[in-house]
Amino acid sequence: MWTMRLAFVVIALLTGCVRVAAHQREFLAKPAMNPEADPLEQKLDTHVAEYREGSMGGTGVGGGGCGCN
Amino acid sequence: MRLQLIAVIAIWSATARAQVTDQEAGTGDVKSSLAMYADSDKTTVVTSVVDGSVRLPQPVLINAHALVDAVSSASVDVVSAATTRFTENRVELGTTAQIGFSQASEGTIGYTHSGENDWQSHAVELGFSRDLAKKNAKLTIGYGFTRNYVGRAHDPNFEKLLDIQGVQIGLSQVLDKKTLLSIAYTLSYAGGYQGSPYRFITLMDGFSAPESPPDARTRHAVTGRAMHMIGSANVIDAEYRFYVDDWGILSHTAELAFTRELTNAWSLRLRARGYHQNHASFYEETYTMPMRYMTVDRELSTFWDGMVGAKLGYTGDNWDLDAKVDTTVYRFEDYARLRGRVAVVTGLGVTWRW
Repeated sequence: MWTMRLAFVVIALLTGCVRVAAHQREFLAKPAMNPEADPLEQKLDTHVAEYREGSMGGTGVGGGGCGCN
Repeated sequence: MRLQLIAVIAIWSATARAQVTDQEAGTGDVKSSLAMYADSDKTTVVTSVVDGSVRLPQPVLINAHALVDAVSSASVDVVSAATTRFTENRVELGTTAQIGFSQASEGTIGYTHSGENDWQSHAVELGFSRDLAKKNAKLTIGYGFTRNYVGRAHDPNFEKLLDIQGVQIGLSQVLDKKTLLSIAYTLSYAGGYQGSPYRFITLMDGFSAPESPPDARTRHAVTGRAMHMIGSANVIDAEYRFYVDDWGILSHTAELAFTRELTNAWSLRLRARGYHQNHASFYEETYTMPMRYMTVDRELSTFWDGMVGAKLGYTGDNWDLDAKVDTTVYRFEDYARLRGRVAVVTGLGVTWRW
């Protein structure tokens, strides 16, 4: 829990400091820098992994079973 | 044994993603995707998906999808359940509405239904996100609830319930002109029947008993992700997830991807992923006597897997094309019936925008 709290504190501090203006986002606006450039692929990849591994979460919430039936 | 849906509600923190209010009404897209999973354990899954979105005059984005999984398996699980190869289809239908409340905040509401011959599920999702610090950061909160009706083929008297609830909070932050950082925490709770009606455990004295995992499971996952552009055409994407639950499973997942823009239209992504987990506290390879909690589910055993993959993408004026291949090697450390397997996932997708 301490690790998580520390991470949130660090990010909260960064949020207050970092400013990248809209006209400076040439690189951030590129498709390859979009963290959800292909949500359908992400969904299918997660489906494959969560059915075959004992872990889930970290990329969304939801359910539908553990794939163990 | 059968395949069951993991209805993932992707509410990933996305600073780079445009808000609904930033997009022009009447625009939309449709993506069609075909993927095939095949492994050395005699299992194949062919997945067909059609997913479409349209933006309404009000700041609302409507999305709908239809998915069909065609499953064929003769894995060791199936054979050990005293059945031969089985085939079945799973059909999933879902819709979401993304509503812009202002230039900086939006909400999501959605519903997904999945059906098989012996499993039905209904999932709802709610989400909220807000841009902070002049769109240098984004806070995302999500909630999902899924009710599952678990049955057993050829047994109308077998009917069990499984409810799953999950919450997630995520924060993404622009660190500089070329770097994006995200962190997310997911808490989920499952209550109800979580075993397999087809999986039985043979005890040392020759008797067999149905597997009996606990009815409750609480799971925690923390994910950190960093994306950085090197030069003007190369992106490094690194992600790590720590997971722990009250069944005793603790896992680590690391993924590294490298994307290069070959030209203005073509891109190539290479990636690698590693995963390791220890077994659930009540998992045993063999049981000598009946226990309160028992399972021989290999997904609850100690194992690791490693994946490498490549994806080629083309982006046109109003249509995109992508093709990919991922190969995964699994090694089970305390599951005698299957020490390992190799799986290959191939996919082809086409997107049309207007």
